[in-house]
Amino acid sequence: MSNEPTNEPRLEEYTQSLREDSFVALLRSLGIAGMILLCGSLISNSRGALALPVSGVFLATYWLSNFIRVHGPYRWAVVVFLAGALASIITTFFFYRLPENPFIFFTPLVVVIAGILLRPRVGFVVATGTSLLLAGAAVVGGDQAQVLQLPFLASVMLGYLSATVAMLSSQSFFAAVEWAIDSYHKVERRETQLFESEKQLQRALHEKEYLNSQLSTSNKELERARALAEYANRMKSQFVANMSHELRTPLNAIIGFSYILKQELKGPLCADQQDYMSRIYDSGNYLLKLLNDVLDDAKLEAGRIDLQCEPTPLESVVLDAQVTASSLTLGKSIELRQEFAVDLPLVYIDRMRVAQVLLNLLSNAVKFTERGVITLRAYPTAAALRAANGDGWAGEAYVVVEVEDTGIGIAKEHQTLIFEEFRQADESLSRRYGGTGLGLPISKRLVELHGGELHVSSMIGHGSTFQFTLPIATEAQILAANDRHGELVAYDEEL
Amino acid sequence: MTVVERAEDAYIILIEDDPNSYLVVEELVKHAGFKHFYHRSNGTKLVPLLEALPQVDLILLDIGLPGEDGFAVLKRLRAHPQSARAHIAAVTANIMHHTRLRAKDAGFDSFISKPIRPDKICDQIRGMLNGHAFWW
Repeated sequence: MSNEPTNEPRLEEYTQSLREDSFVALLRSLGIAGMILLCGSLISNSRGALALPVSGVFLATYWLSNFIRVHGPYRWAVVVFLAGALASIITTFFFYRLPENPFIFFTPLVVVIAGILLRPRVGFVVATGTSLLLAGAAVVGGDQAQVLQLPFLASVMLGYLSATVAMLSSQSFFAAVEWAIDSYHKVERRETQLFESEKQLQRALHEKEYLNSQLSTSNKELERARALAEYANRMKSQFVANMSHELRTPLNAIIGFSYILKQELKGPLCADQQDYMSRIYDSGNYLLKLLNDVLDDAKLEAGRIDLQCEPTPLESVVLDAQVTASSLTLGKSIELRQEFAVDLPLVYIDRMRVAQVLLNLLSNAVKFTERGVITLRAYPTAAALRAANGDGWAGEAYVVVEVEDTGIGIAKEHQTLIFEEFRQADESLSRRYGGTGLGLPISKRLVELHGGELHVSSMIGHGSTFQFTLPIATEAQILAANDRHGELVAYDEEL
Repeated sequence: MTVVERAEDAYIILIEDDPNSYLVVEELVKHAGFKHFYHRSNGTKLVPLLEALPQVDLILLDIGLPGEDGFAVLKRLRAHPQSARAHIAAVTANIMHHTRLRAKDAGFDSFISKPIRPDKICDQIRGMLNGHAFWW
């Protein structure tokens, strides 16, 4: 409602501009009516008596009100306009007395205009004022008795009725305007919000695009880095392989010729010559061992040993290793024993790698045993036996391989040390027995690559037992191997 | 392959381009009493030698030969009736795991890594002549 304080200053502004527009329209109509009346009174003399002064009041009101509207406050312009309208009605009293004055019925029009142009309730003030003014005019004109009669009372009643109608209609009109403005503002707000969220969306999209491009850039960089690392790794492997090859060829001459001379195949040597030749020979062998172990260690370190696992009978692997081990025992009073459980299941292993482990353990046993027995034992775990009988989970199914010697043994505090690279249990042992200290760490890692474990138990002076587990081949692995190359398995089983 | 009565009577061929390696092996083998030991530096003149010998029992074949490599020579040796059933051992300084596997797949009977073990080589030769395979 326009007369109540509103928190929307724009609504007030808007209704005010509506009022001003209607005021200007009314003002113009008044001016035009004044001009028409003036022209009419000038053309016809008989009626000019009334028309001339009324048109004069009209034009004067128009001019004054318009002047105030342009230069002064709106409110005063309206007041002057209303006063002019009333003045024009009062002017008619000079020509018609109250009982027969038809113009008093124009007063409701003034009331309505006041209600619309100022405030809805101003209509009642104007109606009262107008009634009093007309009554006063009638009394001055000597018609005081007529004031109580029907035409005047009717016009007064009509005035109040108009004021009520004007108030109600302008109230509902302004309520409608308010509603419209409100909706308009709501729409406007929504539009702004929409615009804002659209902008945010746009920003988010830009951000996403930027992040995407960043991601793809870093992905590309990652890819490049990976390719580079792979290339470097390949180059390193290539280098290690080449190095190994290049070092081996001259070692062949060093080890070979020193052996030939040391064995006196080319004639006798004096004690010193013999000693020095042995030193050349031993150093050459040490270098070779180091080369082998470093090569394996480097490959293990880089995770580059790929196991080529097949279901394999353990006996065939043992054969490979034992031939070599038995030649090591020459010159020592060592008995090599074999205790294999009957019906050992196939193990899922890389036979070359397991042979390497076995050979390492056997040659260690020979190295640290002067006389006695070295026992090579193999048997399935309890879980494996259960699984073979069809009950129990086969996940824990292993074949246990043991290499037991009656050598010098390993002290408790050294038993973890021996699995560390380049460490031997005792520095003095290292000098006495040689070796690079890489064999056991490599064996342990090879066993672990197979999914098994390598442990040692030992008592100093009584010998050591190295024990490792190998996974038993599953049905699926055996079937897959048969499908891939049946002839290879047949070949293995033949051995 | 025919198991020879006395190892010392076996016919052995070494194909090796490195003179050091060849000299060491020859010295050791001759000293051990092997009577029929022949050497070639590459695979080119191999066939006339094969055909000139009454039999071939063991061939020690270097894989890293210049020109035609050991695998190609092996293929030709297996194709020739004189050496088809001989024990053929790869002798190489390339001891990478995949070389070993490749040698096994290609049809070598043994794998002797270089440098050769001078204290073992004669035992190994005797073992191979008796039908043992060496892969370590």
